[in-house]
Amino acid sequence: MKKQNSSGFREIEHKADRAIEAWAPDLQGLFVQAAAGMHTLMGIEMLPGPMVTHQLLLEALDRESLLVSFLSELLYLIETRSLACEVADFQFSETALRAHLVAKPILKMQRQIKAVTFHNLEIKNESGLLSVTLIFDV
Amino acid sequence: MFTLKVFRKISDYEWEIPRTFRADMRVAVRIFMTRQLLEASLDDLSLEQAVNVATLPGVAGPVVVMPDMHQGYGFPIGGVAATEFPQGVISPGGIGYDINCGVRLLSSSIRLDDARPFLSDLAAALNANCPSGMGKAGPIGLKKGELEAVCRQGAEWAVKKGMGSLDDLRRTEENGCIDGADPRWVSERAMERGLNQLGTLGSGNHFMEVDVVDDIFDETAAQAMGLVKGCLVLQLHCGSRGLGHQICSDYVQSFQAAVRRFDFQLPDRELVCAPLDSQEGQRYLAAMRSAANFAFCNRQILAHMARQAFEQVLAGKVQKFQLRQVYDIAHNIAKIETHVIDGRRVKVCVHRKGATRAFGPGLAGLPEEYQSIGQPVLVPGSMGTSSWVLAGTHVSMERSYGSTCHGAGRVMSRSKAKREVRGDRLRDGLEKQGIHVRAGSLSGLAEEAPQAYKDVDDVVETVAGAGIARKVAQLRPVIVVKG
Repeated sequence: MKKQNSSGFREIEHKADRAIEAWAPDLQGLFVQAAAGMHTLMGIEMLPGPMVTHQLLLEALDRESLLVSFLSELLYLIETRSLACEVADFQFSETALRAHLVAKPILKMQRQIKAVTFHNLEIKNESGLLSVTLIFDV
Repeated sequence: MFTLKVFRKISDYEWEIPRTFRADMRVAVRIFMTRQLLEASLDDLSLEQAVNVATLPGVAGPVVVMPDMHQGYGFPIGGVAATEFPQGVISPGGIGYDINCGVRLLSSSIRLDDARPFLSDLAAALNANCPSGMGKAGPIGLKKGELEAVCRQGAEWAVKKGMGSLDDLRRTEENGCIDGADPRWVSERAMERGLNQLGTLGSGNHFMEVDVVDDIFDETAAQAMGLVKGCLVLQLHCGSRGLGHQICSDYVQSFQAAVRRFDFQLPDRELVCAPLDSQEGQRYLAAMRSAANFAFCNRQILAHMARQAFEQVLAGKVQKFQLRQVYDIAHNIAKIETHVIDGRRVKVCVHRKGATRAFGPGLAGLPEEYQSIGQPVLVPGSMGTSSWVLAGTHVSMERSYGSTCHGAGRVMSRSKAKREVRGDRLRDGLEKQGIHVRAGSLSGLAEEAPQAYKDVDDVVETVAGAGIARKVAQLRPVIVVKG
């Protein structure tokens, strides 16, 4: 449920691909929710046990591009390392982020996402609540 | 936004959204649909997406949409746009993430009645030989230098290794290798994703299918293609895998800056583009062609493994178990071609996003045996329904940049399909119809249920009615292998 000061995500209908809406009071929360939404769409279950850490430093034109870069980085780790990541710490500017990720091996995954798209991508601010709709190519 | 009043009717199969519909349109949108299909398309964003494409800088003539059109991201799926070469733009989103996703068809003289006792074994052998599903590595672990060779040589790389014949190459679009590929413009990350994925089918709507030729509509063309009523054929549907996905992601991201540099005003950020003659455009073309060649090679290797499965199961049991290539065709690609637009021969970059090249008779690049009949067009249906073999026509050259439909087109979201269809029941229903199903995931199977798609027969009747393709043969599935 999208309420003031709340964080979350929900899947929304898309005829050919997959889409989520994510929301949070701040940019860090929004990125975390978008990542959680993407992992949920993919049906990812992580193995219990030891974690590995991963540092991420990204630069982009604007915060929407940064969000796509961030999620694309997570997809790359899922496909090539079979690792799913959670964010331990973020440092942000409008066009760069430094993230400290904790990654766990993937036990199970239901669906592949090929890519994160820019389709009608806009991070909106409605009375202090940030929200974004993301379309994923499956 | 759209009502039927918006459209100008050209014929029972062709409509137009005039250029005046929206101020930022540079060209009209030409729609190949029956009234029924057009009305059904009003409920999603696909027409708005087609109008958005009509705003691209350097778009040379009407944006064309096919009857299997459905909502995508940026371009609609089933869209064709031609931009002037070299001043017009190329848009990576107009090709899509699965660069050179396409279809290969192989024919046989194996009669269904002779093969019927062995179909279950054949399904198992195809499933075992051809890696499918998420995260499955291919049979060929490549070193980086070998992957670069695949990107430059396409299907020929596999043929040189004994996985196919020169005849296969002749019967592949561009002979299985598009000139101008340059893996130097493919990122390290994309190369890494391609290293272990050659010879894999993937997941989603990709499949391998054995069909029987159920009906013939054009005896001459069917004979040239080796299609015999009652005999088996094999279809493969897949693309450039992670390599292509990463290339498209890389360039859609980097073109965000190019759009600012060139001061393009676009209605959707997924439509980012760069002039074909710019450094950005040239590099993307070289990378996109590398992925296209990877995809041709991927289908070549999968076809080789499928041939081995046929031999393992059917040698000594049927008279001739060999599979002969009919054609291999891309449906997510950009090609530099010459077309007549407003009475003028113009060199253009044709973006086909979920649309198939459909060159008419006499066109350069077609093998000799197809010169008089036109290029084979492969139109897979939804799972469990018909697929079609068509041929390109002169009309497709005049009205649709030598293009036609590519499949059935979705009408239901994947999540809704999953809610409404149970994968196990679907599989059992298909088995009852005599279709042997091998699927990596039952939920994935449910997402691809036939009811999630338009009726492919309606789509084919429309392109045939409009004259942008000609019916040759109808196929019926007997084995479906999905990732």
